[in-house]
Amino acid sequence: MRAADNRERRILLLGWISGILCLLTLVIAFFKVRWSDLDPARFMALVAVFATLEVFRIDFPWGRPLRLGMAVVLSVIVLRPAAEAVWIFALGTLLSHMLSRWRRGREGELVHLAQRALVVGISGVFFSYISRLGWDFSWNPYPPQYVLQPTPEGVYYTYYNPVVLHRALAFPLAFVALAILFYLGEAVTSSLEMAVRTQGDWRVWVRQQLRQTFPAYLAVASAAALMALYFPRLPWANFFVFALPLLLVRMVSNRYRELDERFFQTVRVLGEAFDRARGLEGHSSRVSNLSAEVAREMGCSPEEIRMIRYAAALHDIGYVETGRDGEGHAERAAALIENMPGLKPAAEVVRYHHSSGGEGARAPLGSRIIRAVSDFDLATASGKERVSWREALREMDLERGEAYDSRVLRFLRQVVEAQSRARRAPEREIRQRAKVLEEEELADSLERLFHRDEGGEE
Amino acid sequence: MDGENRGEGRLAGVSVLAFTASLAVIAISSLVGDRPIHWLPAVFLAMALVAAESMGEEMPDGGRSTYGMAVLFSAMAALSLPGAMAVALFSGVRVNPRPHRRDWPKIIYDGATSSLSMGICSFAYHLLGGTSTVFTLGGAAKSIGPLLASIILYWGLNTASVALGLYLLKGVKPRDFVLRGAVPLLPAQVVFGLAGWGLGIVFAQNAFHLVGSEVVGTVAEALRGFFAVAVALVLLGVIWHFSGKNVGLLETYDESLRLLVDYLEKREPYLNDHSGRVMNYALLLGRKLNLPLYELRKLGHAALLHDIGRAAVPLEVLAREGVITDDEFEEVKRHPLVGASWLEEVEYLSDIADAVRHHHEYYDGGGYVDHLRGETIPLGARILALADAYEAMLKDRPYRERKGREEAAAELLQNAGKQFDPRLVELFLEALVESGLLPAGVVVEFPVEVPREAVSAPSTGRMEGGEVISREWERGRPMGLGEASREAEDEAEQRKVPPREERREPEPAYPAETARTAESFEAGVRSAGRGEGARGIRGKGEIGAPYEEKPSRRLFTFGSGRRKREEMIRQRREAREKWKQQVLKELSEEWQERESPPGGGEEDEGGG
Repeated sequence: MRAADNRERRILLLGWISGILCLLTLVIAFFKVRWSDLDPARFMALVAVFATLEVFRIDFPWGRPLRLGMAVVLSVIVLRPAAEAVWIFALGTLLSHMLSRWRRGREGELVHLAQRALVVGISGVFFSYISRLGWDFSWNPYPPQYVLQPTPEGVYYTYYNPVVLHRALAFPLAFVALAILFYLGEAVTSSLEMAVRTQGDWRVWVRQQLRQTFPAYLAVASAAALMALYFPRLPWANFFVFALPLLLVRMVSNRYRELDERFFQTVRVLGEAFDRARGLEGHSSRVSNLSAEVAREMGCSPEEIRMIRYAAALHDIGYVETGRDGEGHAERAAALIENMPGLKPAAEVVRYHHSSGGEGARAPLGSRIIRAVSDFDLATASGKERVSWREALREMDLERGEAYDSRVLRFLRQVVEAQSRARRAPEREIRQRAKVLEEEELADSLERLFHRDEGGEE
Repeated sequence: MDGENRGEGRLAGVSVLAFTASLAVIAISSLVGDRPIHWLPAVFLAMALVAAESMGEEMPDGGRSTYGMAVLFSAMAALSLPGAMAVALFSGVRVNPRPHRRDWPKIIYDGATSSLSMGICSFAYHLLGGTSTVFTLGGAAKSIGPLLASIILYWGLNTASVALGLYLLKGVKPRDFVLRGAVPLLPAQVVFGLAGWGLGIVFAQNAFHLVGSEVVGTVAEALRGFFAVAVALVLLGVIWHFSGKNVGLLETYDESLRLLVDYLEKREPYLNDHSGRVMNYALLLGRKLNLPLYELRKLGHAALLHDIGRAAVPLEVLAREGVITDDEFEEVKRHPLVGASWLEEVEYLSDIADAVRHHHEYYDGGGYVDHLRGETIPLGARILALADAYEAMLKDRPYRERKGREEAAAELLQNAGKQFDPRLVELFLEALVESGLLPAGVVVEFPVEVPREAVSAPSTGRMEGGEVISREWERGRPMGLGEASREAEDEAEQRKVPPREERREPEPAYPAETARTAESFEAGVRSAGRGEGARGIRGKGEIGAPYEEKPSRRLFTFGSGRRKREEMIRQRREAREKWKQQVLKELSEEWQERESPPGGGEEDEGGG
């Protein structure tokens, strides 16, 4: 009860802190922008470009989507002063949300936007300093003997002038540093939010977030670099030229995610079809969800988690062949899965999901997770003698180190506790809302009755 | 072992020869030609090439699919011929944490052959008038033709050399490699080659300030050019990475699904890959209908999953020989419903749920789950019904013997219009004959009997599949089964649908959108009270057909289709109820008229 209150309070707190910091950033930036020198046409054009690309997003299995506007933000940070970049971001975000219709249930995105404004401000300031960092790592101006004056024919440099080399290398290095900082900032803020929502460990979330967004983020940062580099040569057109490959990246990446999800769901439905015949409705899908959570909390890589999900969805499919006694169903299922291209690692996970003792210790981590989670689910969710999750975990703790891996058990307990806490909070909220609704409905129906009476009189 | 060693020996010999040859070409052309090798860009591009090659993935028949093409063509655009050849020498090298002594011949072979083919391509490109120095739109447009030619030439040479290498090393048939490995990669190779060429042009503009005898411009700009090219190659790499993953996943998906369904069918041993075969037949028909590729994929998945609901039926019922009770039969009849409900739960599969739900509907409305009839059954479900029945007839079941192909085809024809869509039957048999699964001319022995009254109004659907069907239908083609008899042709002539002007959308006796608002509801009630609906029914003279339905214009429903369909079914049920009441009322009125003296009827009319 108290933990649930705590969670809600934390979510609220996070929202408020982000909001206040965002406001602070906006106010400071407002006073830092030299509005009198500002070219309004250029400013609004950057806002429009940003808002257009912000509509497109790359989705991930969990966490926030990556919006393509990020490429524009990065290049704006390079091209314009930090304070101006913050305001371009803020106005562009507003515009893009007007473009893509504000829907209910997206209030959570406000927090996200506030945090991103903060990240933009910090990285902007960082970039403005680091790009001014001198060749001797100080902010001193270049020594006068190295500074060459331009001749009427242009600027002729020699190879071995340190100022020239520094000027050449400064941009790429500073940009890479900026991209890394921005990436970390995004990952940390989004993981904080996910950690508060799921009551998990935020450091684990950061690692997961970094891993899962890496290729997409690499593409976005590369496009941003190109946009910034080619601004002098292809003014304005650069944003759209380099947005094209980004849109391609979005297309292929989202398609991969959708295909994978479709594939997984197909496999899950097929695996589950026979759970019902055994009277264990929904067993496989519950096991695959919970195993994925446990694996994520244990810090597995996205690919490992993916394989564990598939393996969990198919772990009991061998029962089709063996019938009710289930003798050797793991081996049979593994023999089937081995033939499926691309799911070979899942076959090993399924093969050992009933091994215990010494053999169990040598089994892949996925098998150990599925063993524990499957037994946990059988105990808590099905049959006549179902028990509470606390009791089930206590029972399983007795066999720690024998049948079940103790590390897996620890993380399983953690995940289950967090889930039960997270589950309870909305339930209470719904109950309260229902109460309010009932009263409103009563009032409504009374009113309707009243009006109908009036209409009847007319 | 011995054979492999010999293969390696031969490969090493060939690769040493090719390597020497390409070194000689590089040396001679750099000495003779007027453009020297620019070493800094060349080293940079070679590094980029190694990075790109390291990211590639192994293909099933051997060889790797990489986006090295992009780097090679930027080298071709940015560097002179010997420079590009020198860069291409590195195309076998990759970042490998555990190098092996036996990899060396392969590395040298890859490098040497791709260097030689790069030399040929670069020569051809410049010979055909391609340019690499002028960055103007005109120059670019002039170079596109030679560029495309050289990309395809490179692809051909590279494919040939890799095929030769694989043949020497592992004895892989060149035909297999070319068809399965190289040809599918061609479009991607062309795209990446073009992109790489563009990069190379930009690179030459930017980075060339750094090289040559006179340094013009700033070093900063030059280094920025390097940075830009590196970054752009990273971008291309990410695209390559994801699209490779997609292709792999698609292959995995189809193959795994089929394996999985086949495995699940072990529960009923007599099924024996039933769903897989149904998929083949359904796809055969789908191709005959010119369905687009993505619809074909969905059709395949629907065919594989169409009997998934059988898992909910107890095995004792399914495998029983002889008679089953009515209750049990009811249970069996629920399987499309159960399967569809499972699929509907999943957002990503709900688009095929409809086809699964209705695959046991009959064309004349006598089938089960929702008793749909005619064109209201989704096309996907009609296809599945046909394929399912045909496949089942060819196999033994516990309760009956199998039939021959001809017999099964005759059965389909007999039931065309009753159980199956007659147009689909026609096309299906045509497709079977075309693919050699059914001997031509067999069907002549079994005259077609399509009960004309069972066929509802012809489809006026705009949807692709539907249109194809109606077009086929309009032409009034004979069966198309090779030697169609004259009778069949005559019959087809008779069955011809009247031209477009005469065809009209049948007016539904009960409009689909009744009872939307209160007014229309009341109006509907009033009109029903006046007996308009009844006159409509009487006028058509089709008591057997209580209501006309709009033809279905969809293959599968998307997104909110479920709600729409539920709404549709609800409306239909309501309409049926109303119709029943109407008929009862009319009957009772008639009865009263007969019973009572004529004055009563007049009184009644006056009252109305």
